[in-house]
Amino acid sequence: MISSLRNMTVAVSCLLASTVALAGNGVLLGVQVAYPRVNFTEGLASQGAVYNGSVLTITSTPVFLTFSEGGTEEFILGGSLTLSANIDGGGALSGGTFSISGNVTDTATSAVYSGVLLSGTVADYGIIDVGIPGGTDLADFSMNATSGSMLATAGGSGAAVNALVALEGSSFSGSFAASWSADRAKGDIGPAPSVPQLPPHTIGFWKNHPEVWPVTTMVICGNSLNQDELVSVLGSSPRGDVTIIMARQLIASRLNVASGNSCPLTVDAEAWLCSHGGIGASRKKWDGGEELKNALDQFNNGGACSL
Amino acid sequence: MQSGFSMPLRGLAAAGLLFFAAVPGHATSIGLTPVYPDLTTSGATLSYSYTAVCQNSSGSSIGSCGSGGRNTARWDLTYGVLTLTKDGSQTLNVDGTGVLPVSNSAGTNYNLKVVIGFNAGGTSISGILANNPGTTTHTSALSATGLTSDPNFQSGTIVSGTPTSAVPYGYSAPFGYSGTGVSGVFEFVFNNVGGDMDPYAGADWGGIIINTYNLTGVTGGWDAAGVNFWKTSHSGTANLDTFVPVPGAAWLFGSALACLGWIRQRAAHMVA
Repeated sequence: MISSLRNMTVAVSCLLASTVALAGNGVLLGVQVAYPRVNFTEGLASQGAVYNGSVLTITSTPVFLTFSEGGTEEFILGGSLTLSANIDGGGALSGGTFSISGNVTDTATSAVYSGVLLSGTVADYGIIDVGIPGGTDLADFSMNATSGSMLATAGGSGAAVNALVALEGSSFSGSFAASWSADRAKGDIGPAPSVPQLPPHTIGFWKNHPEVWPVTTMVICGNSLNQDELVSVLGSSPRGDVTIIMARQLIASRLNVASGNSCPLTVDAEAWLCSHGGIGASRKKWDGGEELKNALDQFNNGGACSL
Repeated sequence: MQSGFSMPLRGLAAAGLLFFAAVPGHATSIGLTPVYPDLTTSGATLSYSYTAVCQNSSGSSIGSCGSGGRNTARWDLTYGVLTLTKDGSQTLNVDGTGVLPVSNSAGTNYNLKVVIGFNAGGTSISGILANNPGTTTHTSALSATGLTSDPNFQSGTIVSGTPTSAVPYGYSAPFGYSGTGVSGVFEFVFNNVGGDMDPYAGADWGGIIINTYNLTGVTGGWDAAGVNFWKTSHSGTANLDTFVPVPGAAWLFGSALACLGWIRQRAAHMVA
């Protein structure tokens, strides 16, 4: 009997080993990276990420530096990147450092940067176990620049610097209680963007302040709309067309979501809109959509996103 | 590596696959691990758009959802198209000894298009489809062009292939996606490998890993069934790896080895 129980236990363990690891966990900081932006990838097979129980060490190769959005991707010669974060078994961070080195030329200005391009300290981190063992997990870091030949370009001493790191071939399972590693670390490092997080705002606010929009394009019912088109919808007179009324609330809600707020009802709103002909379908009857519209209106005015 | 399993391991791997299949299949990573040669494409433009159609109670497409009555809310997602493009530089790591810059004088350097189809009920993803929703065919395309200094990568096409709904040996699904908020990972496999990577492709399988941190439009979350996630259009930027061949599923191989060890130990114990 005991033997049978033991067999069953091992069999269940094999089952759990194949399923439990599927659950995602942890959190990301949700930071983004601005310019100048360094893109890094694995250069040598020995590079990657290792957590030894107290320090997470990431090594990779910086390959491109883009000085401004849409600018030339300048190839970095002889680059190396190291990021070390002191993390205990409970996941608590107690400091760390990062350093990016190499030689790169800004072909637009002929400025040459060499040696340690940027270095600094680690302030915070996030990580999620999104992949099954051997798959890809994601991490992000909030850091501060302290030195390097590109220090001024990156915002000066103390400037906020963020890193986004994809950990490929990762054995991270959502816990720092045991050592783990990843075959490759790839991603981007650069100054933190200066985009403020906003509370929910109304249709009128978004119509009159396109300069603070967190996104400038949207796909609605399969159609991509640019900012001018979206502002036009926000400012249009519905003349009884319920699809335009819904679209105005939907656009404002999506902008509020992109600003850091949550409203899952935008999914239902777009579904309703698409099933009723899209924006400007000249429909006069709400056909069950009025409560949804009212919920978005409530959300856009600072209330709860609920029916 | 796909053909490297011994027969006992094949059986155990199949058992492991049954265990895995009990979990909602497509809403998780499938555990692709990149190998060499590996083409890295950073800052690609990601766009996913879906097409909603109206259906009647039997699942047939109808022209209009109408207003009120039996057709109310009888709309459904039929398919969505995920595209990733990059006009600009890439890097190629041929064998893990260094990175080569990949450049192209003009045109799109990287182009990936995957069409994802859904069951009529809209409650689960049935596979990667193309212009014929409801079947398992595919016409998606992958191409990456450029020249490097490696003598084996001079044709002008680094890799080409076809994203496919076929499932590589040892994997649970043809593709995976997993994430939270605006961040996540997509994984695809492709076959019909062409370009300079072709000689490295082994059994003609390649893998693509996409990671993104700034998706907009993911208002429904990364739900297990995929209904909310794939029912919204997304856009953002992403970094990609495109590599050949597809290695055997590492987690499955590890689990199989552990279980095989236990079985052998137990068999020896019983004999003794």
